[in-house]
Amino acid sequence: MEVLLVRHAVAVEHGQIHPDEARPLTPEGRARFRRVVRSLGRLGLRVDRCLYSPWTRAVETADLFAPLVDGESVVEPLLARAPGEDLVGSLRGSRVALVGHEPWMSELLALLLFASTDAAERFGFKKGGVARLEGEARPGGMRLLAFFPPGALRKL
Amino acid sequence: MRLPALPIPLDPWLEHLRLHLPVAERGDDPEGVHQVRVATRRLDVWLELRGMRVLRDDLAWLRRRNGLVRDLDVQLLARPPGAFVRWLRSRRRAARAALLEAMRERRLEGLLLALSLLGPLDPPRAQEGMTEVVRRLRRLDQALERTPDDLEALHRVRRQLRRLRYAREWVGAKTKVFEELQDTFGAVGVLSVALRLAEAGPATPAMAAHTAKLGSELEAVRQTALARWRDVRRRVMTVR
Repeated sequence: MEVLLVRHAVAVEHGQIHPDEARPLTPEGRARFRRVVRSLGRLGLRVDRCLYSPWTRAVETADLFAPLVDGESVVEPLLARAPGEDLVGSLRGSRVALVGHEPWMSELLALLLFASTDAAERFGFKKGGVARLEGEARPGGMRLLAFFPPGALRKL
Repeated sequence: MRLPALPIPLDPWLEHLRLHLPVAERGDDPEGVHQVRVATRRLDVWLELRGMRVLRDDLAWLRRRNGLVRDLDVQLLARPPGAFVRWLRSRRRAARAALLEAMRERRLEGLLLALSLLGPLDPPRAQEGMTEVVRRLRRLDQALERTPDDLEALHRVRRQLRRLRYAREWVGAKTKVFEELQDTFGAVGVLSVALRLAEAGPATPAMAAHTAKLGSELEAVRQTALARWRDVRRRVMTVR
């Protein structure tokens, strides 16, 4: 199984919109993430399924990511909280993308790689960043193929 | 068409959905599943006007699970032959079990939360979305004219016409001509579902007669709907 972990793009500042879960992307955040999606497409990265958090900034990021999804996009409330085995256990299909938030995307990355979230802080998952993993959908069952900072992707 | 001055929130139909989900879950009033379907269709059009692709898969998932129960309810209310009633009731039990399962899924919780957090639709964006809805209706109308006897082509026009009506409702535009078409096109939809279910139902002489009757009724309403559509289509596609 191949998994793309995607952190949402740049959203309006914390405190400007209430509730915080409703913060949308900024126009610049949208434009930048469109370029990220274009680059991922050029690299031939596509998925069969996209799971995304119900919070607006993730919904809007998943919407921009939609051209790379061949199948269904599915809203997944587990992406709006700390990751656990329930989320990992729900991963199905051969190529899946997950769109969510920090610190949980780094924690999920650490969980899938090392079966523990202890190393999560080392990753520094940037907004609009993408990690590409491959392996079995279980804690510690995956290996990291690539970790793209958004700036690098936009330059491709 | 005059656009609304203020952004358009989806709240009225999200509330409608929230209000009727428990009724659909209880299953003691056929209005529950009907209103859930009506609300999911309108919310889907709002998302389309906003230019969004995500959440529409989730709405479609809920509508599929819910819609089958509604289709079976409509057929049961039409008093079909006895053997068919038993078959429909058994299908309805299975469809209802699938709906109840869907209602317990996290996906529904996520869908309702995500919809409730979305900001309102900007009128200029709604206008762009509306133009696209009309453009698609024109393309489907041209396809129907190329194959006027194709029932599927008529269904595609019927569904897009409904989307245009909902889009106009969202922006507060007139929908009178759409309401006039609703009965004729609605009959095509109901009879098509009835025929599809009857063809899949028990193979008895009574059912064969029932299926044949539905087939001729459908052909009659198809022709009426096509003629009615040709009468009004110019008005529908240019209505302001």
